[in-house]
Amino acid sequence: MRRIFCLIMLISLIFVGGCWDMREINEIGLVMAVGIDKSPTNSENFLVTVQLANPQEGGSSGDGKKSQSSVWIASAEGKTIFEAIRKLARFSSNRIMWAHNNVIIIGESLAQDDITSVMDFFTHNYELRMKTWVAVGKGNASEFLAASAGMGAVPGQSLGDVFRYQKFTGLNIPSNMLKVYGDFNSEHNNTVLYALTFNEALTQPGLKNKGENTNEQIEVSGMAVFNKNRMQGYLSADESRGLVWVLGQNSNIVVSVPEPENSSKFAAIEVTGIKAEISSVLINDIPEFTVKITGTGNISEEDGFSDLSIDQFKSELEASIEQQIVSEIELSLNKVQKEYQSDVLSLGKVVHAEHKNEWNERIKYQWEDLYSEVEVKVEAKIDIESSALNQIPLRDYKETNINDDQDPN
Amino acid sequence: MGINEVVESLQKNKDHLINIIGQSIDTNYRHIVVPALDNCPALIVNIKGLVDTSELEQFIIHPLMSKTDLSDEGVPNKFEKIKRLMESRLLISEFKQTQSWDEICDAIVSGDTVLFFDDLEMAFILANKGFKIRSVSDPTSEPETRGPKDGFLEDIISNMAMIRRRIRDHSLRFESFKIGNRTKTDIAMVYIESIVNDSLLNEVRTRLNKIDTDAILASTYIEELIEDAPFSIFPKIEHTERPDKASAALIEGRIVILIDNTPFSLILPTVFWNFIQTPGDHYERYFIGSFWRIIRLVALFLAVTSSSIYVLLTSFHQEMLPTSLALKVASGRIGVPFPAVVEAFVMEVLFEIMTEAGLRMPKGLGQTVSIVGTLVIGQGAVMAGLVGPAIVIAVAIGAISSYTIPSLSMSNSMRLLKFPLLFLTALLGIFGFLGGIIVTTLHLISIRSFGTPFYSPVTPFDIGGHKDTFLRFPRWKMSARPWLSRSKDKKRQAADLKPNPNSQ
Repeated sequence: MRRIFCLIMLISLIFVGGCWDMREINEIGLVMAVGIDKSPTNSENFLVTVQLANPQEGGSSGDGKKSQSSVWIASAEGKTIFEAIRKLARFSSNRIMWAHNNVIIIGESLAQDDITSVMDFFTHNYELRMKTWVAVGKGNASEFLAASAGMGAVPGQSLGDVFRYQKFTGLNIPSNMLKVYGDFNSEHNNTVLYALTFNEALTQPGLKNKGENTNEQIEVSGMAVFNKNRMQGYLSADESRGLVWVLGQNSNIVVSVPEPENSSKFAAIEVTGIKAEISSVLINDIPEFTVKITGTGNISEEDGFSDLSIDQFKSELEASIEQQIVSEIELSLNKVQKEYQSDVLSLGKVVHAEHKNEWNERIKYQWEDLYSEVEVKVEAKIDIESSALNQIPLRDYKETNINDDQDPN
Repeated sequence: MGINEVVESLQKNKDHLINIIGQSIDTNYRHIVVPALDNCPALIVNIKGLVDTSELEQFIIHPLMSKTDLSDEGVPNKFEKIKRLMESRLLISEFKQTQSWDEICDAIVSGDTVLFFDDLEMAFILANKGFKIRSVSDPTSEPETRGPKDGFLEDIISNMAMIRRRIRDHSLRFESFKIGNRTKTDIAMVYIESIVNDSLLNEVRTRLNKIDTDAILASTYIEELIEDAPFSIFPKIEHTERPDKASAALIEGRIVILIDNTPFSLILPTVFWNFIQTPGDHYERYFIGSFWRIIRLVALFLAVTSSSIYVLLTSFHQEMLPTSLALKVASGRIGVPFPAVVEAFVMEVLFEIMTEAGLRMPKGLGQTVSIVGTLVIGQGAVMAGLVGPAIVIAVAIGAISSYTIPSLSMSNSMRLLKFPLLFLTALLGIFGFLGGIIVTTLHLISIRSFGTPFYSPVTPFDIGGHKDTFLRFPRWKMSARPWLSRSKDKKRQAADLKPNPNSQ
């Protein structure tokens, strides 16, 4: 009798939970992107804008009706981000779920002020993934949520994909939550985030009658540079490229350099296996740095033809690539070092590692002032693969009059 | 009546027999006169449908009634004379004499002919069983593309012959039992004496002898009366209608139980993994055989879990779906009035109803089930918005998967098991789902089949057993007999059978 009673009690324990935590998939609002701004009315408050996916009925059968928009955008204000999000429930029919969020966009004014609360909220919440992309929008974040990006039906999702494929441009350093959180918490690193602008001219250039058929597209336009928790300013795409040489691990970058002997024609070289080494020496107790880039080049395109021997061609091409790399890095470094005083290359970390005692005794305390003044030398060594050199570029026989036996070989 | 044995008077014997087995329409009492015995009256008793009538006429009645005299030199009495007559004239392979009424009646009802003579306290049982049996045909419930095409029949003698034809080992034994007080069914316990484990043999023998029941009409009767863990949802004894499968089991040192009047034989001891194996795994090359087993293992898991996984992902852990799939599923479920668990439950029950209908329905109406099933329930329910399209796929995956399990009894167990798992998942999410699977696995680990742990060779782990569990190793690799049957003779074949150019 006692045993049966115990058994019944135990079994009923399972049912007491009563479908605990159950929520149907069509009753939750999947956040596709979120934007955080300062409130326009009260600068102490946050304005949180979310882009929720709005699944179309019978989406699979494809009956052609697209009356509803594929997303639903809502915003709410609050003293904290979490409060604002909870306020969304006042008018959202679906419970908000964060797990599928792709993108966090931070408004410019908030970024310039302080991003600590954003970093904290989005790393506190267990539903959020550390693979979420983080970006700064030039302007208000809420505007970016309403705009379209790429080709996907759900803007937040396709914006996430745009970010994912940024590595092919060689212009930006990927900024997902995991990396940004690491940089933000680190003693030495300073954060860089994607910067977003609108650009109308980028897509569907062939259409005569613009306006109706084109809409403003979100464009990744360089990076936003932070010093501690404040944004210092932007790097344009050209300016941020120098950082990719040093920080962009596993990226392959395409450089276009003038052909040897024929500077009006260009050759495109894809540089792979890029390795950056930063070393420091102390000269009069002031650190000096050397940034050394090594890599392997592969010729992808040659628009001009030269009569040089392979060895000569190789060395001249290498020299001009190296020169371009050095100038690109110097351009970026100049901007982040002199203008923004943001140690994005973690030069402080190099000193800390290589000259531990001096760092702990002295340099650590002066570093903020020292940083913008230190000397940084940039060197590059690119080795062009010989196999690529053996292919002779196409020539225009009609215009130039070069004999076949004057082969570069 | 009070007579326990055959008496001298033919009439009394007949009366007594009528008293026991009655005068049914199929019972044949034939009075004859034997000229060779000075026109001694005799009585032939048999059951019409069970004897070979032409054999009876040609080889029993005809010789008995022929008028040629029998020399009675050196014959002391009438019994000896009759015996000499039987030995010299009757053209049948087997006969014996008896005085016991029990034996006589058993012989009559099992299809033998009994011969009484006047003035003799003895009867003769003449073996001329001859009832109609179905001819050998494909084993319909266990088809194999590359295996033999013969299946067991309802007749135990033919079944024994089918095994004997495959295994000519001298120590192959058919130990016979008669079980069922009223059906008196013939049961044969088949084993190879030089391989089988003795204590296993004794155990099976004891369990069979313990059965005291009215009727044995199918193999399941025996199975339920001798199996371990009778409350378990899983079958613990394998059944087969393939003589090749039964023979393979015998060679492995297992015991086969043949039951008269059913083509299904039992194989024991059995482990869980036997239910995902088929003889076909050994009839194809070992890569293919192994691949099929893995496919079946995946299907086994899906058969139980597919609808639970659907509920788990759509009602509890949406973060585990890829974003696009989550949106797709969500859009399919818009306007569906039920929570996912009800949706899943309804579809599962409908599927079970369709399966049952397909089985029970007369063959001519078969098309109706498929039309109603596919169109009305599948497409119609989705179009009407009663269920989402994703659950139809989930249920269909589970249904198809359940049919890949070769053993129908295991497949049925799995189909039953998905319902409790579905409810546990709906109540507790991933905890219920995993809890259900863990409890089931613990149960499987805890039970035994005739002393062999049911989950072996996984738990307890046996590396040698894995040569023929999830994967089917090449034949030249399997030099030892499987551990699970604890056989006497461990060596199956030479150790160096791997063919190579140097071997002679």
